[in-house]
Order: sequence, then structure tokens, then C-alpha cells
Amino acid sequence: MEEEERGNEYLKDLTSRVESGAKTCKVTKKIRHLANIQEEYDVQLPEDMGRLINMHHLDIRGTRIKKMPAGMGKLKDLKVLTNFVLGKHDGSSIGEHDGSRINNSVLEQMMQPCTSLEKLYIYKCSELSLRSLPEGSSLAMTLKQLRIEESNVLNDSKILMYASLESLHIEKSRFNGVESFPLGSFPLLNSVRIKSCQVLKWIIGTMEGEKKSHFKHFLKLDFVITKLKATERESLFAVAASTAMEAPIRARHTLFLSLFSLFFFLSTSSSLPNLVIADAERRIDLASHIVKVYLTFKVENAGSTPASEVILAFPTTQVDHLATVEALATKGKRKKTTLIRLEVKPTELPDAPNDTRYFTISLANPLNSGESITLEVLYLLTHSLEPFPAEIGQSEPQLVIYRDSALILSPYHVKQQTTFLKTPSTKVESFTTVEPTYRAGTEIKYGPYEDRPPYSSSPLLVHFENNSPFAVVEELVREIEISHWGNVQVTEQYTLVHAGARHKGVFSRVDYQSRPSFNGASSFRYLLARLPPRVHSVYYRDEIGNISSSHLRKDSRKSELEIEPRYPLFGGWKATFVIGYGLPLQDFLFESSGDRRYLNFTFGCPLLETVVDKLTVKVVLPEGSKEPSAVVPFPVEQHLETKYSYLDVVGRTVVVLEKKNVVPVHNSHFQVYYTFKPIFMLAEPLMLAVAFFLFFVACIAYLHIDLSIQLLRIVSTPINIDSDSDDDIFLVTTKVLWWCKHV
Amino acid sequence: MTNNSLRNAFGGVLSFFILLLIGVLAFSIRLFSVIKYESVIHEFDPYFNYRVTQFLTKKGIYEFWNWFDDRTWYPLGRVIGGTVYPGLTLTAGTIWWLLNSLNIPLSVETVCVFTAPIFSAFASWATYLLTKEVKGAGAGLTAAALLAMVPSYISRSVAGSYDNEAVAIFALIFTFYLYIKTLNTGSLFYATLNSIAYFYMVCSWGGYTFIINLIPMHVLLCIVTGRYSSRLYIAYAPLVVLGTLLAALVPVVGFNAVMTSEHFASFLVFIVIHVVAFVYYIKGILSPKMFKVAVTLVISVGLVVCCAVIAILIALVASSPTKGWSGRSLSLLDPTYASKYIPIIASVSEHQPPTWPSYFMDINVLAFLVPAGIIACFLPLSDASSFVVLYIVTSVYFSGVMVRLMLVLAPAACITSGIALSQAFDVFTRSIKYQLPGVSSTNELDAGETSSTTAEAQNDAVKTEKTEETSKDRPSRKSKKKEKVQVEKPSTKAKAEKKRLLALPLEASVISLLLLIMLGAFYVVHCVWAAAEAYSAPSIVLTSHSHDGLHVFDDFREAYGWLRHNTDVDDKVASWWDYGYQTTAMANRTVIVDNNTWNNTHIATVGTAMSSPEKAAWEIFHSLDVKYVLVVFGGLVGYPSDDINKFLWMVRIGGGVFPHIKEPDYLRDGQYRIDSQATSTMLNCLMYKLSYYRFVETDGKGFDRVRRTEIGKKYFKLTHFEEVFTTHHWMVRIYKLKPPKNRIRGKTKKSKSL
Repeated sequence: MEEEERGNEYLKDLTSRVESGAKTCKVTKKIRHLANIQEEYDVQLPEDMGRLINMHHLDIRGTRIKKMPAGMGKLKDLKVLTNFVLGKHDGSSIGEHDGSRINNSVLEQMMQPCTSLEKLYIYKCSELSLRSLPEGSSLAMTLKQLRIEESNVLNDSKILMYASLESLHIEKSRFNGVESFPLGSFPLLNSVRIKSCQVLKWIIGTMEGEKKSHFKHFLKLDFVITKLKATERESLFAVAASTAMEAPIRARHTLFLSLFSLFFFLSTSSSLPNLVIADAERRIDLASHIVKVYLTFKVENAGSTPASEVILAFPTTQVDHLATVEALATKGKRKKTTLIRLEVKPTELPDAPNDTRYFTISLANPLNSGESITLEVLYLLTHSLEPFPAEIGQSEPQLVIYRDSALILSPYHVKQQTTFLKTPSTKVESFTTVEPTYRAGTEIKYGPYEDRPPYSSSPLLVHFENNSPFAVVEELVREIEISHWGNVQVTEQYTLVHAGARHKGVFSRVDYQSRPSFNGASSFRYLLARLPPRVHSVYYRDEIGNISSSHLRKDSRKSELEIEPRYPLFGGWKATFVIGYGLPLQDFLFESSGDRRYLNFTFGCPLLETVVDKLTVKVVLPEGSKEPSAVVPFPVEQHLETKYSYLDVVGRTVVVLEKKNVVPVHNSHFQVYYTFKPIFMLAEPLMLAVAFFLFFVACIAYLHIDLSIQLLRIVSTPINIDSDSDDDIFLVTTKVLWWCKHV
Repeated sequence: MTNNSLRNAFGGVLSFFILLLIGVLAFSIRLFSVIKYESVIHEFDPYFNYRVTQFLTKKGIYEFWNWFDDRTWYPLGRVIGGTVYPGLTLTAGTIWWLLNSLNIPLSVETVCVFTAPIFSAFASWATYLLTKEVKGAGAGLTAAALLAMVPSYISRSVAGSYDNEAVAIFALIFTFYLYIKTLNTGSLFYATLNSIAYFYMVCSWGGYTFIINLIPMHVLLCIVTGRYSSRLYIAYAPLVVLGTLLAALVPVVGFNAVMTSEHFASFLVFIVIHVVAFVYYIKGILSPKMFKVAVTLVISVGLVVCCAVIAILIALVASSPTKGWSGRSLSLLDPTYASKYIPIIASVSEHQPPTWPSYFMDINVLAFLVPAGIIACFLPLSDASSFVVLYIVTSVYFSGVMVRLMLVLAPAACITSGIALSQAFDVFTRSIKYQLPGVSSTNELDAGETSSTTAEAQNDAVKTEKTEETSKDRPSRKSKKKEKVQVEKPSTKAKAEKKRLLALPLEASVISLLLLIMLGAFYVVHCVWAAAEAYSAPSIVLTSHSHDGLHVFDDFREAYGWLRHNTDVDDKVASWWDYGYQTTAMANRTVIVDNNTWNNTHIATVGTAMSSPEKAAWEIFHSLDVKYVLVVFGGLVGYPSDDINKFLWMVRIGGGVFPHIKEPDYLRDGQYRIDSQATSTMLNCLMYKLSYYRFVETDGKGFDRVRRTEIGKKYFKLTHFEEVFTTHHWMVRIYKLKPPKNRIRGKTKKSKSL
């Protein structure tokens, strides 16, 4: 702060002197940081900028600087330079510095000595085209962020030299020069943003109009806003690198084909093509009781036939515990660098070894011979940490064993592979050593291993401490009842168990209460359930009544219900409970067309970090709804039931969805479509009204009917009273008859 | 005339709505427990009834009758179908079935929780009917309103208190109503209904013996006071015959209906009433002279027969060990009986005689109104009002014996107080009306009749009708009304004369009225307080208010929930019998003894185990196949009704069967104490050890907050038991029996060689 202020003061001072014609000025060399200069400083940077040799950070965004001072080149320590502006008369200045006017730009000139520049923003260099980007030997090592806005760059081929580039941002700029954009040259790049670049020859953009066969002109690149995850980075650039070698035309051709096939044809698989895994990296996260495995590998087609499928192999022991497998491919050699989700389905192979099961990844486009693709596979394993010892006392920590293979099980030849295991703490009892094996902190590294034949494996066993709550819901029944009167009632029945090491022997409350961290470290008391916002009438009870230990926190985005079972759950202990809540209908029910509506609701268990062995979702549709159909993003078992609830006559249709081995990843939305006529809402009130009406009619009828046998007495009394006015016999008889009728 | 009928109609509608509101009041005042706590079954016995109801709804009625429960009284088991009063269960089961057949999916628990409030509304309506038969509609409404909120009844019928008394009080009052109705009308129809109501009462509660003794007493009273009539005969004879037959249908009663001495009074009176009826008949057909001859003949023969019968009876009674009377009934007759001979009955707090404050707590101002009501019943004394007097007198006696029978007193107190209040209001309002200026005498005549007086007149009318009418045919509703009106006219006129004489000074009446209203208001305030504060706690969840807010002690359910989910389904849990019902219902585990207390020896075995040293106790429990022992301990949080406080009863009951347990061993100078002065027997018994195991580690001193003292033996180890669960506030502690030790060969050899 202090330095900034000083900088501003200095600048003011400088400006005034320049204007006043002062030729000499004292400049302190110690200013390192010049930023946040206010807009009102209509200043020119002093010509003697070069004296500020300690300057690190020059941020002149927002100022109206027209021209960079010539002495910039002496700022050797400059790391951040924003808004490099090319003045109108720089041509002459270039001449002053260097004889060759055409080849060298002022920028390059200036940057030559900057050995540590990290950020460079080029801004509004459009009037006089920038010949080329600066070409400094050191820039290739240091430049991390490049931002070009509203500029014309005549020759951008030098961009390829910036191997250390992490972030590239091009906007409203014109580029000429290289035709292919070799992303592979930037191994560290993790953010690319290209926007509104009118003519950009070196990135293949979307086709213009219907001319699919012509790919000479590319324009309107108004896309690519990708923030790549660190884990996905490598695969993206591996692909880019692999294709960068090829001739530009060929590359474009392939890319077009791939694009084409993505939209127009499904891949048809042949027999196992001769694929080779060039490089594979596996990261196994053992922090919680759900084992997360990230597998990144590069597949090469070494055969002659194109391959459209890649096969993953799992041992049978793992397949039973496999909750989900997802595969991603990075698309974007020269176009979108997005990740594309690929279809994964289990298959059988005829000549497979025992104990091996397969999943097929269907590639979006066939892999031709010689090509390669990098795939990302994420799979989750449940119940894979075996507690050892299986029974522990109250004060002992929970130790578990994870078994796997140090080598990736694959039907392909694997050229190089590495496996990383991440344990929750540094407390690791033992681990198998398969040379080379290193352990550092919470990470154990296996590999790299070179050239392993198909189906090679090497048993791996890690014995480590894991005290994270092993909360497993053995059975969860979620009943979602839709009422068109404005409510969605959700009832969830849990059978919760601590699936870790079984508790053995004594449970001492004294020890548990006095030393909670030391005693019962693997037990858990609380669970957090994330409920939708605007939840109301929440209850938490079990078969013997309300459980009074729960807290509900609500805000506009979500509601959190902290529940505490009746007793702390130690290994092997069970608890059952019911959570129920109401939700406003308009948040979840939408009209699709006409009387067709759909419910949009989350599928999985709202408890965080829990595994559900068997999940049953029952969607109770209102009485009178027809044609139910469910849309779920993953395979589930479905069937229909009928439920009778309050005063139902025909019963409510229940859509039952069942799934085993559910993990938090499955907590995505699903839809149930149905047809419902609003008139059915009135059925039950009308029925009640009619019932009450009939009841009162019956009461009135009963009060007016005399069921007693002696009719004579009734008849005689009214006549005595009423007949004092007239004595006409006829009238009396008619009255008697009337009385008999109506009484 | 038309004005009067309109008034009648208006009165009818008004009283209908008042009754409806009374019903709503009776229902809603009992919902405090649901609002303050939750919709849950309360206490101990209700859990058993709830479990039985669940079984009934799940398995059906036939399975229910044949249900042999092997999850209790292990290893003996219990025949539930034959030992339970099924009325409550069947009622709730029927309600549940009805609702579910209408597709109203209420759970069994919900139905059970709300059965008691619903039936208290019914009970207040039955009170209205009964009191109306005795003293007219005004008294009826007052009595119904009083009963709707009498604390004594609320204590037994709050929402969740799913116990036999909940429906039995309704059945009791309704049976009495039908008896009075039959007595007033002489209708055989009501007599039949009466037996059915009696049957329902027999189904519901063991307290039916009160009815079957009270009604014969009343009949006898009527005969003695020369009030015998054919109506009395119709009211009584069918009740005994039909009622006994129907009662014998209930498995739990069975042949007890004719075998046990509780029922003998009714048979005796049955004979008496026949003799009297015969005498009246003979008297009618014989001339006075012949009648005298017949009387001497009959008396001489009758004496001989009576002596023979009495001799046989005495012989029968003497042959049975308890003299033909069950323990509870004997303790009714001799209040000191139970504490002398049956500690298990004496150990229940509700079998103790009540204290004076409990009268004030439970019936409040009614206690002061009852005498006035009794006096009102004597002005004039009718068959019905004499019944009320008899009812209140007997129930006062019984409530004095056993605090639980305060429940029987409550309706009687409400009825008499209702009569008293209504009569008082009558007198005061009439005096005010009479003395108010500007009211003409004719108007006053009409106006003087409050709804209650018309009803009273109606009642009188019915009676006059009865005496006049020899034909017993049931008049239709309409004609009856007309007749009443006709009869009313002269009688009210005559009454009006009388009333004028009874007029009190205006100021006195106004002040008295205000005082009465204040009394009533005080009663209402007290009742609401009692319902909200005193009787709404479900006793399985405890709450306490402290400076930092509300504390909930849900330890019982924590322990039961733990047992339910984390022990094997066939494990046997031993605890003192108080927790038997709850353990079977909430934890679904087999228990050794429960609140049914039918087998004294079995309970004594558990009591002995609890009072024995660890090894002996382990052997007893092991022989019973017990795996877990549950004790309730309040020392940490100050919960007074824990096992240590009940421990002396365990010693007494155990000592009653197993003489090696001697009460003095556990007392130091006749004082029960657990501090350092306690006897070594006390400090080494199982109950002490299980309660205080590692207790000293909580605060370092082992200060027991219930006994307000430091415990005597602080550091000890358990050799045959291990702690497997203790609840959050230490209120329930569960121990597991260690498996028997392996026999060591060397040791046996040694002993052999020795």
C-alpha cells in the first residue's frame, strides 16, 4: 500500500515536472509496484522509466497513456506489465533503436531485457499492426499470462515459443501467420479464452454455413471459455500434442471427421483392435470410505483397423463394489477443448481370463490406426476398505486394508503407468512395495512401470488408519408424494449402519464423554443432510417416537439438517429413522405440454458422504394421473404400484425406482412425467361434501319418520290441537292423511 | 304454548351445542401432552396395550385370542389372549380398521394416542345423560362440563395415555346411566343395553367388579327402604343374568364371573330380589291373613336354606388360600392387607392410600361441592338420586384405600357437584328473577324456568307418567313431548308458588352467584394447569428447564433404541419389572418379568439377583439365560424414581420368596443409605455395583444427586458383567453378562488331588 501511494505521488510529481519542462528529475530506484493509477491521471509515463530498475509490477489499466516510454527496455525485473500500448509514432522510435524497422517491433525491443516478465497484457495495438510478439529468450521461460485485446498481430508464430504459458486470452484481435494452433506446445496451459476474433487463421472454428467441405476460411470464433481442471489438463494437451505433429491439412481433416462423426454416426465396433496404452496414471483417493479412482490414460491405435471402443477391465472383486464408472474424452485438438462424456457399459469378452469383468467405453469417433486419444475415467468403489482388525475396542483407531493391483489391469499393453495412493493421514501401518515405490506424506507412488503386457497385475495392499465415518445406509426408501394442492411431501426411511470395524466389548460412557477424540475416534454422532431450500415441517423420528436431537439451518439456497441418531454409532451399530419434510410444489413440478407435467427431483440420498446399498424411490402421483414415465440419467429398475391414501377410491399411481450401490455422485435430478387433469383435485372434497350432505339428509329423514307402532296416538293428538278451527270431517281426514305422509 | 315449545326447541339446540363444545373441551384439554411433547405412548402399561394393538391389527382377531407371548416372562411366557382385558385393544383396533377401510392411513400409534381423549369426550356425554336422568338437563350439562376437565380423569386419559381406564370410565358411567334409565323407564330395551354396556366394561377393565357390587348394593338399599318396584326388578335381573353370561365370554374373566367372591354379592341380591318379588306377588294374590301364615312358613324354611347355603359358601371360600378374594380386592376391604402380605402390590405407588393434597390436586373444588350435592340428592330422594349418593359414598371409601381409584371417585364427584352447582344456580337465579322489578308475574313464571327446571319438570313428568301409566309401551318422541307439556302446566304452577317462598334476598343471591362463578373459574384454571403441567409428561421423555434453556432427557428411548438395533433379536434382557412392558414394546427384546406381575416368584428371583453379590447374581441370571441387565440410574442428573430408590422393594419381594435375602442386612439402623455408612451387603449387591460402576470418574467424588450424598464405595471392578451401553445422561445403563469362564484343567486336578 505504502509503495503504491508513493508510486502515485511519484507519478504525479513526474507528470508535473514533465509538463513544466523540467529536464531532470530525481527518481528513486526502489519503486517496485505501480498500480491502480486512477483514470484522472491523464499522464504520460516518464521517458526515464528506465531508471526504475526495481519495478516489478506496472499496472496502467484505466489510464490514458498513449505511448509507452522508450526506456521500458531497462526494466529488467518487470514481472507484470499491463496495457502495452503502441503509440502512433513508434515506428520512428523503433528506428531510433534499431535499424531494421520491419522485423523488429518496439515491443520486442523493450522486452528483450525483461528476464522475469510473467504477465503481459497487450491492449489496443490495432492502428499500427504489431509486427510480431516479443521474442525474448527469457520470455519463453517466464511468461505465464498473455492477454491480447483489440490488437492486430501480423506474425504470431512466436507465440509458440511461450512454453511456460498458463493462461491465454485473446479477444477482438486479428491474427495472421501460422495456420495450426499447436496447443501441445503449452504443457502448462490451463485456461484458454478466445473471443470475438474475426479472422483467426490458426484455429479451426465452426463451419460457416453449409459449406462443410470447405475449411479454408474460419471466422467468428466466439467460443472457448474453458477452465480446465488440473487433472484434466494433461489429457487435453496430450491430445493436442499428438495431433500437432501432423500436417495441417490432415489435422483439419481428421478433426472435421471427428466432429462429423460426433453428430452423425454411431461407432460400430469390431473385434478387439490392437490398442496400446501409451501412458497411464491412476490416482486412488482413500480419504473416505468411498474409494475414488481417477484413471487417465492415453490410448494409441497400433493396429490397422480403426477402433471405436476402449475396454476397461476390472477384477470381479471390484466390480461388485463398483458404484459408478464415468469416462471423459477431451475434444478439442483445434476446436472446443471441452470434455465429452462417453458412454460406458458393461460387456462380456469371449476369451477373457477368469475374474475379470469389462466395461466398454464407446469413443465418440473411431480411433484410426496410429492415432491416440486420452481418456479420463473416474470410478467409485464402495465397501472396498476392509477393516483390519475387524473388531476394535473403544479406544483403538480404525485400521483398514485396501487391496488393489499396483499395475493397472488392462486388456492392452501398457507402455508406462504410475499409480498414486492418497491416504487420509500419514498413519500408514504398512504397504506393499513394488519397486519403484515412494511414500511422501499422505501419498504413496507406485511406478512408473514400463511396458507391461496385457492382464499383468501385481497385488497391492495398503494398511492404514481411516477414522472417517463409515456411514452406510443399508436401505433407504424415499417416498415423494405430490399433492396438487401445493405440497410435495417427502418421507425417507433409513436403515443406517456403521460399516467400519465392529465395536468390541465395553462401551464406556465415561471414556467417551471425557476423551472424545481419543475414545471412539471412528464413531460418529452427527450426520448432515442437505435438503432443498424452502423446506418446511421437517420431522425426524423413529419407530418409538421423535428424536429430539436435530438442528435445521435454512437459507435461500439450501437447507441443512443436522441429525444425531439416538446414540453414537460405533462400528457395526445400527439405527433406523425416518426423515420427513414438505416442499413447495412450484419448485419441483413443471408443466411440459397440455396436461402433461413433470416432477424434477434429486435421486440420491441427501445425507452427505454416505453409501446407500439399496435405494428405492417411490414417486406417488396424485390420484387420477395417467401415463407415468420416469427419466433417470443412469440405469435403474422401474415398476409401478398403487397406493391408497386419504380417501382414495381408485388409488394413486406410484412410480418405483430401485437402484443398488448409490453414492453421492448419483445425487442428480430425475424426472417423472405424467398426465393429470386438475379437475381430479376436486374429487375428494366433493366426495366429502356429498357424504356430509347425505348424512344430514339421513338425520332429517330420521327425525321426520316415526318408527313407533302406535300410529293412532300420533294422529289423535294433532287433530285435537288443530281441529278447533273447523269441524269439517273431510278436512280432518285429509289432514290426518297428510300427517301420516309427512310425519 | 307455542312460546314454550319454541323455548324447548331452543333449549334442545342450545344444550346440543353445549354438549358438543364440552366434547371438544374434553378432547382438546388432553392434547397438551402432544403439543408440549410429541404424539407418543406414555408410561408403562400403555406400551403393553400398544403392543397388543399392533399385534391385533397385524395378525387379526383370532390370532389375538390365541396369542401366546414368548417374549416376556421368559422362560414361562404369557398367554396374552387369555389374560388381557381386550376392550381397549379391540376398540382401538376397530377404530384403526374403520379408518383404514376408508383409506385414511393413520398409524396404529396415532389411533392409540388419541383413543383416550376421544373416549373422555364420550364419557362427559355419558355423564350428561346420567345426571340428566337424576336431576335434569341443567345438572347434566354442569356435571358433563366438570367431568370434561376433572384432573383426576385427565391424569389417566391424556393423549398417549393408552390405558384401560381411558375407555373404562366411559363404560362405567354409561353402564350406570343405562341402569338409571332402566330404573326410571322400566324398559327391557334399556335393560338389555345395560347388560351390553356392562359387557363392554368387563372387557375393558378389572374395575367392573365395582359395578357388579355397587348395583346390587343399590338394589338392596331400594328393597330395604321399601322402594321395590317392577322397574327395579327389570333393571336388575336381566343385568345379572345377561351380564354374567356375557362377562363369562371374556377369556380373562371366564368362570371367575361365577366363581370368585367379588361376584357373590350380585347373586345374593339376585336371590333376595326374587324372594321379594315373590313375596309381593303372593301378597297380591293372597288375603292378608293367609299372607301372614305364608310369611311364617317361608321364613322358617328360608332360614334353614339360608344357613345351608351360607355354610356351603363359607366352606368354599375357606378352602381357597386367599379366601376367594384376589389380593387387590382384599386390599380394598382391608387397606393394610397388601402392605402386610403382598409387597408386590404395595410396591406400586398407585396402590398406596392417597394423601389429602392429592384429593385437592385431583378433584379440587369438587371436594367441597360434593356434600352439597349429596344434600341436593336428598331433596327429593328418588331411586336415581339414591344411587348417586351410594355411588359417591362407596367411591370415596375406595379412593381412600387406593390412589388409583380416585378415578372412580371423579365421575361421582362431578355428578354430585354438578347437581349441587346446578341447584344452587337455580335457586339464586330464580331469586334474582323474582326480585327484579318490571317483570310481570306471568312472564316470571315462564322466565323462572331455566332450561334445567324445565328439564326437571320433564323428569317429574316422566315420573308422573310412569305412575299413571300402567301400560309400559314406549311413547313416541312427539307425543311424549306433547304430553309433557300438558302435564307440566299444573305442576309448574304449583311449583311457582313454592318457589316464591324460597326466594333469597337479591344481594345475597348476586354475591353467592359471583362466588360460585369464581369457584368455577378457579376450578377451570386449576384443571388447565393440571392438564398442561402436572399430567402431560409422557414419563419416557423428561424435560427440565434450566438457565440455559430446555433440556431433554430422552435416555430411555436411547437405551431401548440401542437394544433394538444392536443386540440379537432373541437376547434376554433382565431389568426390574417396571421396565418390562417398555422393553418388549420399544426394544422388542425378551424380558424376564414385566408389569403384569402375575408370577410373584419370578419377580422375586429377579429381585434376589439384584440384591445378591455379583457372582450369585450372575449365576441366577445365567440360569435364566439372560444376556443383558438393564438398570435405571438417576444419580447423575437427579432423576428420583430410579432403581436405587426402588431397591428396597426388590429386597422385600425377593426376601418374601428367598429367605436368605433379609431386609435388615441392607439397612443401617433401620435407615436406607448408600453412603459410606451403608452396610457391606448393600455396597456389594449387584444393583449398587451396576448403578455406580465408574460413577466416581464423572466428578471425582461420586456425588449422587438423588440421594444427595457421596456414594459409599467408589472404586470397584466388575468381574462378571461388562458395561456395554450407558445413555447420554447415564439414566439407563446396560450390562452384558460375561460368558462363563473356561474350566481350567489344572484347577480341577488340584481340587481332585486335594
